[in-house]
Amino acid sequence: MSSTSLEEAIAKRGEQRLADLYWRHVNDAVRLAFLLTGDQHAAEDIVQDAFVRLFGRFQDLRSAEAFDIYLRRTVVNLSCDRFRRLRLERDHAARANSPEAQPEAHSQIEDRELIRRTLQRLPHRQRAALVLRFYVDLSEQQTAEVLQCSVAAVKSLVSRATASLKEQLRGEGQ
Amino acid sequence: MNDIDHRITAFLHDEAERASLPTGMYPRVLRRAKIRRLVTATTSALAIVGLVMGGIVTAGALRSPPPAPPIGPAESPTPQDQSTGPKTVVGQGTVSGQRWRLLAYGSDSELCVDLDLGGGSGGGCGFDVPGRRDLGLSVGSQSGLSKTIIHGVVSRRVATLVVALDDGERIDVDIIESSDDFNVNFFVAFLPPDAKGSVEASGNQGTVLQKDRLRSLSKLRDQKAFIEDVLDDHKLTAYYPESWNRASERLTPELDQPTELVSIGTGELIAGGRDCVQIPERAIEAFGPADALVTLQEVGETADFPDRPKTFGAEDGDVPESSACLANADDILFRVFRFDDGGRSFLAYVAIGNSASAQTREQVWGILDSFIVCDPNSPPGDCL
Repeated sequence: MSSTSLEEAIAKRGEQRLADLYWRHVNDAVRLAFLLTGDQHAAEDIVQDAFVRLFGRFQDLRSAEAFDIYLRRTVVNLSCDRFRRLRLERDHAARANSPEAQPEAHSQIEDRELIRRTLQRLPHRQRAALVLRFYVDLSEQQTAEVLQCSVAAVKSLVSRATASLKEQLRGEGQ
Repeated sequence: MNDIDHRITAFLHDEAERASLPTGMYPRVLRRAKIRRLVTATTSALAIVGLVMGGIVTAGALRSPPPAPPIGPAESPTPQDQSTGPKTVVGQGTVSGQRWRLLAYGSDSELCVDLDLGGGSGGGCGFDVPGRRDLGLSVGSQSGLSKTIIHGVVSRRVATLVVALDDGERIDVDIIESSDDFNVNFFVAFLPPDAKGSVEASGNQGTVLQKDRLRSLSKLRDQKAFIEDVLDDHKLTAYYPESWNRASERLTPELDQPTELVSIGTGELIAGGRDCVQIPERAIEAFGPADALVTLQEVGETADFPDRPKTFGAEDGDVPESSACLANADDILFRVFRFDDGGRSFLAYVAIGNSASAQTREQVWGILDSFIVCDPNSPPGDCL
């Protein structure tokens, strides 16, 4: 095999590997990004960026499990960056706190809307911890790995997030 | 799980179903990834990219301590390194009658910092500060301005920044404190032309948190792309030039204690030996006069060696007793370095042919400076 065709073959294998990883993880990644941002377009942008970043880094990936961890971590970090850059959290909280955004009556639909709004108002890392624990179903240890913090910090993030939600739901339910 | 946990879980699962799953994204991912790889010519997604723009040449070192090998300057800014957040002026001033501005912004490659100077600009991204490093350094120059220009970021743990030139002069560098938008502080300094020395970042108590060498631009320009090799089995990541090869098998097959982790060389990597099992005897004896080889071995038990030096150099190594085993001992520089890093103990053997180029010698020390030692219990793929 000539060196050019060898390079082409290696490149082909690399692309196939990316394709495998992409199709295996893309839907979960988009759902995760969507839950973190509440925005479909932002979620797609973030996931696209995450795959582009990881493509080079994981060309020699030996463990699919490692890719999973890094993809989640990258999605969480990019979501966080996006909020920080665009200051959407502040804007969104301001909108959510406006009088017209308040529910008029408590019902199941409004309960969901209330949870959605409260989640969006949570600090990003609290929201990420909640999503990783309750949606992705990661253990506290795995969540700590994704968020790059201690298990104790994860417990604290989840505890504060659920306390906020509880308070909101109680307040609205009364 | 209590009621509130159930409600959150149910909500999140329902909510996730609202997300439309992407169609047509994959070709875009592939196209962007290819562009990224073509331009950076490296497998590292966190590489700093030196830019050549408007006469300023800059390049940075990646991930330290210790610093990884630098990436060669790109020809032009890349789509993925375009600003994705607003550029913020974090510092400005005048040097030799020219106005400069230091700009920071977020991009695909994490935090980016550009120095605008006299109509030109250059910079880097992905300094990994405050993650793994306390100091992210770019070194540059500009035609028409007889200065070595350094700029970059420091973690907020850094209280003082000093350039210690090899001639003994010490230059204090002002740290530019930034707003909360950036979790780092910044710096710019204009040094004498062709400055050689180190930049030392120290904490409040005067402890040196990180020390990076000023690498000369001529060396950086000669550098080619580096390979990032994550050795999960050994919890080690090695960086080496594409023109080098990693041995596919242990070059010291009969050596049990210590254990060879990785060998990287420019020449033919032949395993085995005749007289000394502890060194890659055959590979070194097969050396061409300009070849070089680095072998890293781990001692099974912590040997209480000195801490790993920030930078390696021939003067810090010992001449191994096993050099007597080599038929070509007079034709090479052969050194051993003993050091501890991350609670692990290592031996690094270095062999450099007497006719090896300055670039090859520089690459040898770059390889030793840049490999990353990880916790033996770190997850697979985490040693980056």
